[in-house]
Amino acid sequence: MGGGGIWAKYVNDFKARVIADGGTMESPSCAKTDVKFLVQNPEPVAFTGLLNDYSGAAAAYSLRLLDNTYTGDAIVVRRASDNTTQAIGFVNNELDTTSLESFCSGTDGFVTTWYDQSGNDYNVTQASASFQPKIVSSGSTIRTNSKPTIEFNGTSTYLFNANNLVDDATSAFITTAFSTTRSALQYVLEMPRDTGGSRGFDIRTTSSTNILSGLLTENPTQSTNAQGTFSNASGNLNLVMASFDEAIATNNHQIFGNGSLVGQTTNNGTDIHNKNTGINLGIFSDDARNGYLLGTISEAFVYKSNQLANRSGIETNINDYYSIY
Amino acid sequence: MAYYTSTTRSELEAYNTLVVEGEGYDGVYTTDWASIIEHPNGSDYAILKHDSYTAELTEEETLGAEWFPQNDIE
Repeated sequence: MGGGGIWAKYVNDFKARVIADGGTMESPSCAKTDVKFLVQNPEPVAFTGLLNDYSGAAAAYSLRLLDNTYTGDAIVVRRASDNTTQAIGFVNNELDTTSLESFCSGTDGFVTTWYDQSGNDYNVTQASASFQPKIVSSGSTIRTNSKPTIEFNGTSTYLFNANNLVDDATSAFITTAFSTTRSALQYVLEMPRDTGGSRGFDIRTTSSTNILSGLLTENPTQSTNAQGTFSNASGNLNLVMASFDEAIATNNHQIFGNGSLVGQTTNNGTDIHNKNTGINLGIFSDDARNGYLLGTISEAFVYKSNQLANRSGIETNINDYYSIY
Repeated sequence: MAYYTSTTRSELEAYNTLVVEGEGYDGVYTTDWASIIEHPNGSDYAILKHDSYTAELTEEETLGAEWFPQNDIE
């Protein structure tokens, strides 16, 4: 057998395994070449996204790849210089910022479409130029915690999908990774009760030290606020989740901040009210045009099911990627 | 962020068209400049002003809180 050192050990081990299995081996010198190649060129570990581990989302928005079977783009961007648009996908499971910055070429870039990676095609869009949130500023990708993010200006920008999302759901779980620098009532993720109406199920800040999830159910109609103290206006990312499950008798409406329970209450209604409308990111109501978010959103998910058993795992997945806390 | 206001909605729709045609939006992903804001009184309207386009309309630096009734938020 040619050669020695570590390769001799690998080849001898390999030969022993082949013989133990009742097989025969080609010449050791050939085996050395094969074994060396296999050791030096291991098969890449398959990418596993958050939605591969925690499937069943009704809608999922991110600037990283969430599912190894998703083949679509992340966003569509309009550049300010000439108002042309281009779809931007993923490279190495992250937003293709090279293509993004090349396309925007020193100018600003605005998001017209944030694609849903859940497979339900529930994309959020904004067709009015002055209402489109920003992702590139003077040619540079906007980032929070060093990762690409979408910036909302606090006065006019939001993304939405007008179709029903969680209406009549008996349980739901929503999560957002967002930042803000403003102490105010502002809406990160809102699924309104009705067109131009009040809350259906949402995540919002009410001040720099308080987060709140509003919920409206039917049968009987009941409105509850799960809220508590949570410092949120540092400009760094916050990871906030809210959960409702009518099958849970007490404290069935909860809000979590950076992995900890922040507030909880009991909602005695059934079925979430989200009729004739869908989801808004960065605004309370597109009709009333208020409650704008001044800050960024990096990810948002909606499940029409109880995910409390997966909450810790989902938090870990998001926190590992964004280094939030 | 300035606004144009008017009691005639069509004047603001014409302003939106002016911007859309001037900017050459693709008509697919971006179809207009801004939607028109209706005052709760039902007779006043506003639209965001584009920095590059002027019109013979009343300009307001901001819209007062009365344009955005807080009782819609809960």
